[in-house]
Amino acid sequence: MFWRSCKYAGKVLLRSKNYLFWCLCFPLVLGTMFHIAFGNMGESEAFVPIKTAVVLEENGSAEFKEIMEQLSEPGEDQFLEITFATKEKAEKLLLEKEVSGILYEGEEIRLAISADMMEYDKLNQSILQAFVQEFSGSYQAMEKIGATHPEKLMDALEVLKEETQYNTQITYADGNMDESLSYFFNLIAMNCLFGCTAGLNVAVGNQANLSTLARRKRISPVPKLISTIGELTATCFLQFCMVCISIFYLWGVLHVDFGNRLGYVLLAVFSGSLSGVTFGFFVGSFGKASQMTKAGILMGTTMLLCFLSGLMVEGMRLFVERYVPFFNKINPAALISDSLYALAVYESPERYFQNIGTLLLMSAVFSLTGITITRRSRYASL
Amino acid sequence: MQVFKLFLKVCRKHITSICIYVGLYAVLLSLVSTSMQKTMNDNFSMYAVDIAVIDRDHSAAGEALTAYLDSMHNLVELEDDPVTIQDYTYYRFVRYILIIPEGFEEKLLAGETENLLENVRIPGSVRGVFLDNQVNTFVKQMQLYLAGGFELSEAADEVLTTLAQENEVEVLQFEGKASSTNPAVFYFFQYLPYIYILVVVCGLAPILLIVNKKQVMDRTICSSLTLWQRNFQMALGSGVYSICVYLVFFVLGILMFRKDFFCPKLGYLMVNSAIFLLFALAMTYFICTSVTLGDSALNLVANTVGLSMCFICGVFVPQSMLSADVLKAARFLPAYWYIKNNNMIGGLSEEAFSIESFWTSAGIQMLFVVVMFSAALVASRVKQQKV
Repeated sequence: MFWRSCKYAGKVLLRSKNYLFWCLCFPLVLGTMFHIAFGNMGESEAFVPIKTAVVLEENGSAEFKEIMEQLSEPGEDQFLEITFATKEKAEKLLLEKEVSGILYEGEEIRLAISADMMEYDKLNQSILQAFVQEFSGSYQAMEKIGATHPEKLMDALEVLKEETQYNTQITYADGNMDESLSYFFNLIAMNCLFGCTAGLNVAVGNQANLSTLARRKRISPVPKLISTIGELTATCFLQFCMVCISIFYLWGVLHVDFGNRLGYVLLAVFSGSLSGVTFGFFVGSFGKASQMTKAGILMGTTMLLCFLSGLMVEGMRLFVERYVPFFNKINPAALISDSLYALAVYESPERYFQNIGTLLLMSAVFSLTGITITRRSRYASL
Repeated sequence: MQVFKLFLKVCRKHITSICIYVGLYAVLLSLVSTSMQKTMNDNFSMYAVDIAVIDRDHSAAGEALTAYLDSMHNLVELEDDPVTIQDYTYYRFVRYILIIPEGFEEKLLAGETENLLENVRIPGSVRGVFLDNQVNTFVKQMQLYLAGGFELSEAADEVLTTLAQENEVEVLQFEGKASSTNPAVFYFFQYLPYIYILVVVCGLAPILLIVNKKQVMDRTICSSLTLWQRNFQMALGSGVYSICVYLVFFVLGILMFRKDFFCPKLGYLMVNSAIFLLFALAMTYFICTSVTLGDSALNLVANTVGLSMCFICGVFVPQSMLSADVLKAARFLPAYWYIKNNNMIGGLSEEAFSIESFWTSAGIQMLFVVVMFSAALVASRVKQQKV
């Protein structure tokens, strides 16, 4: 009887267009949109040499020009992309937004920027300002040293000429740092949790006061526990398959990097699907509200959980971690996305297993509570 | 005006769902404007980055460096723990973490400045380069003063005073007073395409579908009303609906931004959004004449078309972040030209504002409107012939 329950629950789900759209098509469409929108995210935050116009003085120093040329030499360390121009030409370039700013040679270097570019080009303008600050700061330092400790001027000049690397970049993990990945992890979390509607169907389909199908089932000589567990098993398995299709689409077609531990990824997806379905079953088992009302509550809750794990706003999970850290430990969406994140970023699977353990524990609590609530129900009148 | 009256009656029945969309948009806008509410002014201020400093040295030099960075950027407190550092960097909660190791001051005084500091950041990021330059400037200047015979405390004071002097940055005004506009106004107009598609398709399409129902249509045609009069009244109804939607968002803009809303280029923004509203209207006509859908299916179509177009064309994600190939494909959609104009007007893109460019993009949007209306007419004729 267990297998028969499994079979029929599977058939019903596969014939539900609504379920197939939200659990299969929608994640694929949204994943494609994420790929299109965020595919270029890494490049957009990469440093690109700043286009700058330089206006030289008529009898200016050759040294300044040389420094400018050095800074704009093509290569890995290229800092500026220089165009030497007259004042009028430079202003025209700035007006046409061909350059981020104009550097004027003089006793002190001056910077001019366009008011119309202050919104989108502020970072480049600030980098140019910092560069000018460095120049004038060194100039002022040499002046002050000359005035107060002239005997040390040569030592200071030596320091000025030195090219030292003061600051080294270090990392604490060797994984992928592409921030767009977190959106895909959250998409998978949402996909897993959408299984709650199928879990709700199982709960409602076994409560005779909520659906006609349950009335028919309850008068048959099938033990409720076996049919419920059979239906839950089939639903979890199908939900797992749906999310696997999404994973393979994202990984194989859109080349989203889930790391090289596919087995672990599938375990995370399985635990996520299980928690999604059992969560729906758990909510469905409570109270006498209609299926529509419970579905509304479930969808609202799922979207809220996904929002708090960062599906819509980047870094939301960390924001919650900062102010209500406990919530991240019980939010299934955050646990699923964090498991995938931990796999992609950290070598050690400790954090991953903590999340998976919590998800499995929550699933056990949800399903056992649901079964306990709905067992041995007797109806005086229907 | 029976058809027009019927149109208004059906419209009244759908007022709740229309209000929900408008309400949702108002909430979204208030969230966006809270983060964007700052008036651009004529003075240049440096770009502030969210950074963290982990000081393991607790020395005067370390404190001076922290104070220097704090004066320009937003300092976020962070635990000195590898997992926290990694997580905060990955989620871009902080863009740069500077670690001042133990012995920093000693090494600085001894002139051993090679690899004096450590930092954690996204490799190759532009903000990383920015912060690196500033940290290097500080250390270099400290070294200069120390080599020049200054005491550590004197050197730190001198460096902080010098670097605190805001260098005069000349801000050139090319386009009148456009720069004093609140940028949130442009973001208000940026999200309009999505909401226009939702409000017009989900709000107007059910009304049109009811008015176009076979029984209602047959009843109208068998009356003394000519087909031309009927169509005119339908168009009038759609026009009134669209104007109402347009005015509602205009008033919403005024309520949210008050006098900031009346920026110098408001006229261009209004024309641009009016043309896109026409496109949403044409699209609704096309959907209603070509296929017969229920309310939930209409919602699905509106959301799928709206979301896809907005993602590809740069409504949700800036066009500058989209790849060149995506942008090439997006040119075949009207929202691309709408956003191109909006970015140009608001100074949110590299393109300088020009009236020719504005009318070119507006003209292309109008072509989409014409094509969509024509397609709707063809679809309607084909459907009639089938009947």
